[in-house]
Amino acid sequence: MSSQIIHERLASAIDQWVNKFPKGEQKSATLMALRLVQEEYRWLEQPHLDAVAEYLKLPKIDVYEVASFYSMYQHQPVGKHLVKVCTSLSCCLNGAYGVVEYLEGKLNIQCGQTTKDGRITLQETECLAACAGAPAICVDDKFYHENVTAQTIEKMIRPLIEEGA
Amino acid sequence: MTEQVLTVKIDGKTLSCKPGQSIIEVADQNGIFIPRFCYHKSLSVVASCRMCLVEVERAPKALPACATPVADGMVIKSQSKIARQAQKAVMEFLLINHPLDCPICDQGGECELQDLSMGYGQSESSFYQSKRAVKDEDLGPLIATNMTRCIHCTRCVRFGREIAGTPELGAVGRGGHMEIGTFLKQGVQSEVSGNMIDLCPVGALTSKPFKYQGRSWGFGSHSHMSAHDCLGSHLSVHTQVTNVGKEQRLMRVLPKESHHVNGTWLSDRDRFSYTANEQNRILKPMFKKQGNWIEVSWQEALTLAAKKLSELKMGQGQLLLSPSVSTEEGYMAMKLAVHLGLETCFSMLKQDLKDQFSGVGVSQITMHDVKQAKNIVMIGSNPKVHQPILGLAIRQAQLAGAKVEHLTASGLTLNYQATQLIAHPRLWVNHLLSHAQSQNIAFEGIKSVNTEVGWGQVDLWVLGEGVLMHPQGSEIRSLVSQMVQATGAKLLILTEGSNTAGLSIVAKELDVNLSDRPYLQKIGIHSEAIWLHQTHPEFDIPFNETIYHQLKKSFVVATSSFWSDQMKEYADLVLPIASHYETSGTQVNVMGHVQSYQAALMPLGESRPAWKVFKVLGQLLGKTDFSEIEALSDIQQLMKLSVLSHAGYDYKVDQLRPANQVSLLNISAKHPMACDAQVRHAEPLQNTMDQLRVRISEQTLQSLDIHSRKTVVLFSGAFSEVLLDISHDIADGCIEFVGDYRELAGSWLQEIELGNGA
Amino acid sequence: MSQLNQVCYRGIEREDSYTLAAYQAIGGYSAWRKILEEKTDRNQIIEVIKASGLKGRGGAGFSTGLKWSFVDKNNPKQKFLVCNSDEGEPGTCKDTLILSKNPHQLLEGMAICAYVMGATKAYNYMRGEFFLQYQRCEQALNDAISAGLLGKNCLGTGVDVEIFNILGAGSYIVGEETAMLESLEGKRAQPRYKPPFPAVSGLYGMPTIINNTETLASVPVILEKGAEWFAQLGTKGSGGTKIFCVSGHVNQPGVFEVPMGIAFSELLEMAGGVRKGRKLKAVIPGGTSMRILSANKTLSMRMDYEDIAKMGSALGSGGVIIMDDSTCMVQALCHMMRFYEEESCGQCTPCREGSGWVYKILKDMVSGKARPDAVEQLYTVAKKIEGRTICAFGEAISWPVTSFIDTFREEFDYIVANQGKSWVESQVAGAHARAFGWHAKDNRDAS
Repeated sequence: MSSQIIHERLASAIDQWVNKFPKGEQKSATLMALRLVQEEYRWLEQPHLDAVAEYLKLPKIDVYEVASFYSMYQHQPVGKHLVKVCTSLSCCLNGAYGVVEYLEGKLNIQCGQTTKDGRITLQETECLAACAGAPAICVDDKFYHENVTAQTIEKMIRPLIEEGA
Repeated sequence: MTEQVLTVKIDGKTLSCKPGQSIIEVADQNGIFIPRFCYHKSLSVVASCRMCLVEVERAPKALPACATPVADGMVIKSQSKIARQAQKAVMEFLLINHPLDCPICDQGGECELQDLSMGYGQSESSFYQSKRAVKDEDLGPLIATNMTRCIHCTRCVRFGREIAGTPELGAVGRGGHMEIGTFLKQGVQSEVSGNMIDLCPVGALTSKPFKYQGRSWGFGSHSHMSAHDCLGSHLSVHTQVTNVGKEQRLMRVLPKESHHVNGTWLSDRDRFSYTANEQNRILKPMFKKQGNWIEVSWQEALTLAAKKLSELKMGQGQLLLSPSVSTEEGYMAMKLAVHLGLETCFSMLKQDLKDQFSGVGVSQITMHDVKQAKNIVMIGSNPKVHQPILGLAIRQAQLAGAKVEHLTASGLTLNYQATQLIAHPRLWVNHLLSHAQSQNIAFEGIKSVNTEVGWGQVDLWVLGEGVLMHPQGSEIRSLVSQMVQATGAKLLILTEGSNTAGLSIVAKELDVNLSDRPYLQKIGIHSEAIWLHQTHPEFDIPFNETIYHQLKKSFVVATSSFWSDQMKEYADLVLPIASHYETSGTQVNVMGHVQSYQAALMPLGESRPAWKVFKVLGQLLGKTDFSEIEALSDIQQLMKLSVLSHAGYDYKVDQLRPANQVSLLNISAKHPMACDAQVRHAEPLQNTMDQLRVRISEQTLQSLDIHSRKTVVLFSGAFSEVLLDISHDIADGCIEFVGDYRELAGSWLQEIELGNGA
Repeated sequence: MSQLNQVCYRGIEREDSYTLAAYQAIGGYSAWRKILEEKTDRNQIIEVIKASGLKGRGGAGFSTGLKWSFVDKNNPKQKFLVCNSDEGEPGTCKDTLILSKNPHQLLEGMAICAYVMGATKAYNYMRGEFFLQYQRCEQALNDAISAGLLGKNCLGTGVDVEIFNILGAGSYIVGEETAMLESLEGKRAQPRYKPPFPAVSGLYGMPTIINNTETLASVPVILEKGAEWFAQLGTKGSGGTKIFCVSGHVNQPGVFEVPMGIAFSELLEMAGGVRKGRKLKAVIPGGTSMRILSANKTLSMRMDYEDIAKMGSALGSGGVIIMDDSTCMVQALCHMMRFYEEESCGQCTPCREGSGWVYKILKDMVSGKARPDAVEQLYTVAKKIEGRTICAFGEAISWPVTSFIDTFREEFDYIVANQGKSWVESQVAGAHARAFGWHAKDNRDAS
């Protein structure tokens, strides 16, 4: 079963992480294995978690425990792109909730929801360590946008909406 | 080297202790109570509940007594202002989200949180916000959940990981949203899951069969022993006196701590088999007259039994004796059988007893030896299923560094790490010879063989049910025991039932030559009468249609606690016998541990303890020595158990017989949830089974010319279509039943036929 | 003005500062080369680090040299070094720049530390969102390995230092050193009880040192320029430089690597002063886990361990959050506590239950549902958590709550007495209590 979800390319990507840890400590690669699987399938459902457990030869509950602990794992369907607005203190002092409201209006969804076309999910996130660039947004858990304004948000969001359309 | 001794002071008392001990251990040893929830002496220390915070002089803040190692000269105060403030704060935090539903909580009255809140809690809560509510999940037929009550001590989680070796429960989510559960809502499978009920300090995990049954403070507690495997766990049986002390009810069974056997744990089978006690019981003596069962008085029934049995000629009848009855009643039964000229046979699924193995059932070994072993080889044994407490001990040995190897016909799901050599049973003798050769152990007149097993220097051999029922069981026992003698290794031969050891000792005492096979199975021998004691042949011996017809032709006297559907057909006279929990007696476990116990409650209905029934029957038959027996202690004096329990073993066979060639071998052992009538009637246990499947390799299917992939048709007794489980993990030429195969119990190591299904 | 960027940020003004060539051009890897060539005595290095006065820059401020000396280098077990790059303390954004602009200096620092403690394997644990930083570190690592500087048999000297860059998956508590070890082992990031300390039993039960990114990145410069040079940059007791992240209500927020002991007023000036010319109201000097200080306490405060402690807070991670007079302190605290409630690992009782309780009381306050004794109760609950948890998370709840109340009591009393109406809204012109939008709608609190 795991071989269907963790296909060859994914397996070799996971193996690279397994190899960073001492032999027999493949459990250490759980976090990244889950992330790689999530990048492939966008969110994690039980078969994905089970596949990781099977691939890393771990009890299933070990993987469930980890998957439910870290906040970057998505357990509900999400859009193709994740737009996370930092709403920690420094960003709030610089209008983070204005950013949230702007995006809600722009995307016509509530924070936490996904656009109808399934392209964008809007979420709040805790401190991104970009406080000097507040307010900050992180796209797809990878790309930071700092000191955002209505203008830069427009610029940031356009390719996400239009890409491949 | 003398061990270092430290001196600490706890609450003003000067105490000596050892380096590495925690404050709580030292306090416990000296009767000083420090409150705790997450700490448990058999589990790892996590220091997370914070209830055991104590003041340690010169420490800047209160420290957890469970995780703080003692140091020489340490001054600890568990009652000081700092300690009490910390403990009270923690108690308040624990209570803010804990429901105040003690009146409807089964844990009420024996709840650690309730108890401690009396000492550390406040009478009023200052938390006025809404409490956390957690959705319950169904953990299966044994454990009831109310996870809103959970205080996140993680004892259950640690038990699964550390003791049971089956991590099923975990902490899911984080912070105040953390929940203990399986995440998948799929129930727990562990064979020792009930221990989590004991470990849970609150009412989050409680016993499902016991739900809303009673309040613990009204219960009487009785020491007893379990009767479902050859280790015999120690029990505390709880009963309730109802109707002004006239009648008692069996309420529940808990483990009783025992260093010889079960430690503080208990298998689910031993814990929940009590639920059968009032199910399908025979409550009155009954006689079948022209096909109809009629109630008769004890007097009539005994007279009839005596008459029928005394009419028998030598060699025309047999006593089929359960290997799980007390030594005393077994002694009386066999004594009676001797007088009547009946042959005695244990009702077991055994195949081969050439070496008179049934003459001795004690292995010279202790549980401590098992846990200390370094290189364990287990042949035809699956202790996780059949002797769960032994499984935990093997796991402990493995965690301590032991190498464990299994010789098995199909892959086992184990709770410890082991290598498994999967081989057809007919090859097992060969593998043993090959091992002997690699260890330079020679057997006279036996040629060398060429297979590699790589077991190295074995210091513990365990022979399980697969050997007990193996057609070459004698050969295997003989080879292993000779190797044991040559190397000084330990040997544990597991037996069926709970008291094979005790019964075989008194059989020797009585000079009873136990028959190796039930009459019913012996072709050409017709028995006039069959006496079944706590036995249902359709479950307890290899059974088929022919045997059923034999039974119907014979006069069958059943002394039994439980009915079975078929018994109503084949029996002619039934005498109601007190159940295991209603019986006093003695059991000897496979390690020679002798344990007596008292009946926990009065026999149900008109049932009577078996030894009393046999005494009266003996008297009616005019045997004077039965009249002299007045009490259980008289039997105990007669049977001289203590002397004989240390008998040695000698399984030498002269010649190795060739293995039988069969085209398809059934390797399923007797179902652990069908091991005796008590377990068979325990509904919660019966509900733990999955759907019946048959496990077989692709290659075997091909060789049988079977092309179906979903089901096969089984030609065993009745035709039935069974789901297929095609597996790499089983030796070619074998099939194994998994899931609910109680009905197919009797076909161990027998040839079986399959046909195409869907 | 004080000189900027002398240690961890040296050279980052160069566009290609993250490359091996750029780093070596400013003297990078010279300390490491020297150690490898001379097989410098490990104790000698420890002495230099001790003399430099370098203290842990992650928040706790423990002497780095002393920490290094705790690992018995003769212990035959596998030893590990872990670099804590899980930057996540709200208000802190200093390590991210080291990782993306000066990764080689961090790698060099890690190599030196690994050499000192006899560790052949080292992990650089970055928070999950630091994807670009991770790529920079991977590139730097590969270049350094190709140059023979890192990996097996460094520069042919027989010294092995294998460094691995690791990514997390979203958890504040991973920044706690023992939680990071659990996370590296592929588990939930639940801090471990100490003892045993990581120096004895750390990653996989082996001796381990965990240091912050800024701490390790300081090491090469200290060895290049000497302990004395570093120590004299700062003050007595607080040697060297410190990176301060100034955020919040300032005109030009930013990260500034400055000498320890710089006046708070100078730092504020560097960040362009309080925005829109408003009045300074309060400062959180070291990340939101530290106690808040009222403006008047900061007037003459110097930014070093000792002086901030004297004012009643701590230097912490160097995350300096500036709040002007329009800030509602009750709402700010409530918002901060939502973060802590969300991020508590849940393992120990006072934090698991207390974080939620504190947050609930604060929510009641701002939504006008609080009982008259709510302020007292909030204070008591926070106090009951302090000192009773496995890790410092308990204090990260307790310190902000108690210091906010101690400093701005009247705002708490006002909001309770006025059914959720903010004191600043009624008293301060242009105050915007709605900065913390959660009270309008809060999607995460649906349950």
